[in-house]
Amino acid sequence: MRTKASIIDAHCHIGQGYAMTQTAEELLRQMDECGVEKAVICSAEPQIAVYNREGNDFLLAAAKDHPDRFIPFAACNPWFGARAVEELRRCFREGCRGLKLHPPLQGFSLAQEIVYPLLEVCREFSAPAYFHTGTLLCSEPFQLLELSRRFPDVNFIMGHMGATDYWYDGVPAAAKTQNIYLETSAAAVIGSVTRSLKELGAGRILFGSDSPIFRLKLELTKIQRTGFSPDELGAILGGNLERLLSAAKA
Amino acid sequence: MVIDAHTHLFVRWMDLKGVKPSEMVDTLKSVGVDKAIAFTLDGFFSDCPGHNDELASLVAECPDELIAFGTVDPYQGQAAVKEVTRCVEQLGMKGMKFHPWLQAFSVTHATLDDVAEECARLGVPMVFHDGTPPYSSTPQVANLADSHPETKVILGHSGLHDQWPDALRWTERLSNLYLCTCGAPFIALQKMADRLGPDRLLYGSDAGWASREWVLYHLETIQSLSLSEADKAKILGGNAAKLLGISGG
Repeated sequence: MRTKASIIDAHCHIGQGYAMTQTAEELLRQMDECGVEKAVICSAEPQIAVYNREGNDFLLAAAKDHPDRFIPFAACNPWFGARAVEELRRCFREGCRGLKLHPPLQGFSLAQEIVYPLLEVCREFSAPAYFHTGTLLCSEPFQLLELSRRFPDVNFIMGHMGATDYWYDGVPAAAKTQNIYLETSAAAVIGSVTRSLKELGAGRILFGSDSPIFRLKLELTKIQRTGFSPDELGAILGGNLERLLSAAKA
Repeated sequence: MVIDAHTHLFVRWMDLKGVKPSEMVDTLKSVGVDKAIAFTLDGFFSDCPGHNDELASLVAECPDELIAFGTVDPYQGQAAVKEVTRCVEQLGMKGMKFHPWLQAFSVTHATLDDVAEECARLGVPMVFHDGTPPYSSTPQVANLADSHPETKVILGHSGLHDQWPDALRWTERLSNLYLCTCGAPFIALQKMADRLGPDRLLYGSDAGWASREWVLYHLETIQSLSLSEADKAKILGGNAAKLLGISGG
């Protein structure tokens, strides 16, 4: 069983944006308060959508200041084409551990092949790709399933498990493939969802908070109250993500 | 007084089995919630009058704690308007709940205008599921409040994850529009409270399976907001009590 100190939050934001605004220090304070050792950090809205390089540099600098606390995931808008591919390679070389994609913010659909070149870079570096899901037309769980089947050797993280409106699609989509992991922030992990998650297996679930959009402490408590066994909770709260990241090549 | 403004009592919905009213009340009381507004869930699919009767009898099992809101099918035309009157005047319901995408109607359905006017006449609010295009998008619901300024309209989910900026914009402009907190992100609720003040927010959990953990998650969300205790008390029950004319808040 993992100790409380080794909890990893699979999804947080730092930077200056619309709703994703918080400083590294604010996030660290919340992590300390909740006994969270490490957190995946992503950029805020403008840096996810447009100013990718500025955002990625900000994340890399924060991770350099706090190498034991932050795990940076690079944002690259696929509409930048070859420049996005180049930026992602640079980010992986400089210390980013995964890719963060947000179809509604970045203005693309998971069904559009413009995202393929970025996933090829993820494959090359054995790095996971995190996708916001839950938004109509562009980031639905079954859209992610189709994409994940085109890249069977890339690990996909389904952010928010399809919440809100696709809450009933998240687990069934993940159950059809081996390379989709479900990230819990914002999701209603209760009742029938918890039951189906248990059938899918704790090994496919990653705890995340989406701080500051959602409150780290409340998201963590939500998972601790689900009734998973201590071993399963250990996997969900950090072990699974650690395993996913350990495959990555620098 | 703490009032949960968004719960469901039902027999069966998808693979969910509803809980007994007394079970839900016990769960709510164990975390300090005094009263709850209860909607149907299975009644959104068939036989609204029948399910209204059923909900009225379920709520009657815990009359001090549970407050029923009925529902109608606008495709029934004037019969739907009459059913609103029956819900309020005969079944003692305090409001009406709609779930346009589950009920497969557009919020611009002409009968809904008549229903809104009847609700205004009876002095009861209308709650809508919102945040879900194309039948329950937040502006579609808010537009009904815009068309019927005498009718109080509650956005049942404050726009959910994608439409909370819409919920904020429309509520800023319309004084007859209210926000139920369940389903909106934490940061959205903080922004709403900061921009609108505390008076337009109603605490809700969407408890239907009455999972204690889920109710706690929503309660703790409100308690974690950066607000005075007096403002939190308004959101947690004071506003709902005022809206429903319940004393002792």
